[in-house]
Amino acid sequence: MMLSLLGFSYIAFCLLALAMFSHHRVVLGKAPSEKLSRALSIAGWIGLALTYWGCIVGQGIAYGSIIYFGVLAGSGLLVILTLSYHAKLMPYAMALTAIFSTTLLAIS
Amino acid sequence: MARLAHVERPFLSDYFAGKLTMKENFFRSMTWLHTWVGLLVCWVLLLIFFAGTMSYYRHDISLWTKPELHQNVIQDYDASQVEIELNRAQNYLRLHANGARDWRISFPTDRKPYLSYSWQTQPEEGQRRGKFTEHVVTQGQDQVITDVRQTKGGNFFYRLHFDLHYMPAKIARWIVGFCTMFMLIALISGIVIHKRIFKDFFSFRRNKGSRAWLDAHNVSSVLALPYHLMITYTGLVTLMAMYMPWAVVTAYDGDRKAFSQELRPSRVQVKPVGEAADTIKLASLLPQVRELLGNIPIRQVVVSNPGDKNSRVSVYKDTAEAVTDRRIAIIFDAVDGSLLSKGVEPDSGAQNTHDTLIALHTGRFSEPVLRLFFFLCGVMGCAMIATGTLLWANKIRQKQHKLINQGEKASVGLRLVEGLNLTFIAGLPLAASAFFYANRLLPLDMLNRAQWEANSFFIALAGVAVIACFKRTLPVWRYVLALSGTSLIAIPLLNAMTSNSDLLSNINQAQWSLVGFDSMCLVIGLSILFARTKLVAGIIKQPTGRRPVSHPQSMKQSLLTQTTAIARKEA
Repeated sequence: MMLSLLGFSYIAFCLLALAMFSHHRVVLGKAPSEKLSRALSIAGWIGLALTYWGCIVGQGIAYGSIIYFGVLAGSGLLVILTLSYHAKLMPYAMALTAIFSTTLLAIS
Repeated sequence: MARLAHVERPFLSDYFAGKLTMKENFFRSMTWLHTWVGLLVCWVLLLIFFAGTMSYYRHDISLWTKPELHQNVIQDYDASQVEIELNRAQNYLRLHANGARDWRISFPTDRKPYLSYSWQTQPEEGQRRGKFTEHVVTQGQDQVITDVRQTKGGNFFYRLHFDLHYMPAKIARWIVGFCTMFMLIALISGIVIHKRIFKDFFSFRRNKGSRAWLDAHNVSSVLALPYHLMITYTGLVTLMAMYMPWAVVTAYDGDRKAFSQELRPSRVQVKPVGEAADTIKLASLLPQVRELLGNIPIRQVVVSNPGDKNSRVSVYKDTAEAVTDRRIAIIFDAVDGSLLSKGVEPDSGAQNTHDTLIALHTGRFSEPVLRLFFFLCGVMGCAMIATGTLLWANKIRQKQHKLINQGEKASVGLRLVEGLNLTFIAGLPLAASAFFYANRLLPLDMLNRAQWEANSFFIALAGVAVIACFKRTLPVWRYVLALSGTSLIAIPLLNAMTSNSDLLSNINQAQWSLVGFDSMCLVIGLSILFARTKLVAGIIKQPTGRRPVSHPQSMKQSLLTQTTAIARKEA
């Protein structure tokens, strides 16, 4: 449960990173259009909101809120590591995480 | 957040001469504040942060440091056994701890997964507390382990976090409070001057010289910013009555005891009257306890003044993952068994707020996953402080670059800062592992053994400090890091050789806190060695700065223009 939430917030942060001009260019090799950038950023924020919702549903409002910040810090760190060591692999990492997290959520 | 490190202190004359706008001046002041407030206390702060981060695993460290408890001890709470356990405990304590000041029967919880009987002897004249003894019961309860080595265990790091060491607790707590206040100021001024928090959110430009250090500083601060703010603020709250006692002093005419009595009626200790009276059979109180607690596990049963007429039984429940973990006991009279307090205190907003803040700081409620996140954030806090001071040292060295190249010595301030950096940043992990080695290798019957474990922590730290007095070059950094990395990696080996369990057997027997300790040491040791490989000579020209800096002057310039540009835009 927690692991899949970590995965989802990782994806959300990746989307937010991709919404930024410089990161987008490094990862995908081209500049994002204004529209795409906005769409990515909205998707990212929705992802973060969903993660928060998942934390609250799973753990209650008090405990869930605390662990949410932990999840954010952890996944943010992972995004930064991906960007600085294997930026090109980010789309694949996102896809893998999506599959992994969804299956995990489905089993639990 | 360390943009500041590159900006000069503003001169008031500049301001009056109209050279600076109000906004620019403000940013420069904040930058100056962040630098100096951060720098003044950073090493003590690093020690506090380091010890605090370790304290998240206080009980696991304690367990690891007592290899006598590594076999047949770890068990789960079993509600059906409580009655039998209570009877046995009472018999045992009556036999072995007659005349003690209190008896404590602790049931297994997630964090302390073993059953133990402990007691405190009557305090000697002039002492507040008596001697504390803990005997641990094996699984199946047929044996009691009495001979556990003398060690401070995880409590060493816990105390180090706010009492430091080798000094009266009161002075230490004032120092810690002072540093915490500075930390709060540094955090807030850091947020103010770092206007690009969200733009640079994911940026870590490694191999880009001091840019990379700045990024690391920003990333470690920003990612865990909610944590940093929370931990610093709640840290101040933990000792607020000590730092700001005036409200209590005024309202209660200086009678602190009256205050705490009103605040926590259940925590007030009763005085013995000196008349002997038999303690009631503890198990006979169980039905009443069950009625009040339902299925909630009991964490601890405490009998104060056993054998005296004025004796109480306090039953504490396991608060588990409730965030506001108030420790309120159900209290019985220990002689006639009458219920004195149901363990419910009036619901007060102020107290709930206070208790929640404290609980957030100590994180007692957190299960393993959240605990790991807390630990991670704590490590990021250490990284934030370390990268900040390294940035500062780097900047000063660049300033003196020319002079040093001409053969002059680095200034005293720079040498001091670099020395302290080496001592604390590279030395602390080494000191911690020295503590663990001492725990296992010092002779068991040594006089003041527990104290010598603590001493070895500081001896290791002092050792690095002595080296730092003479040399602070890159090879020295690499040497110290190699030493601490290797010694941490060898800790599972040490455990295997000096106790009757090892990493594999612990996995087999599901003794997860021991497995966690060993594997955490492995991971941290490996990361330190990884960090060491990154400090390669050759990319670096100056003897001590850790990374090369391509264009110090132009970078400083660009940072300055950036800050002022932002300020202008705002205006």
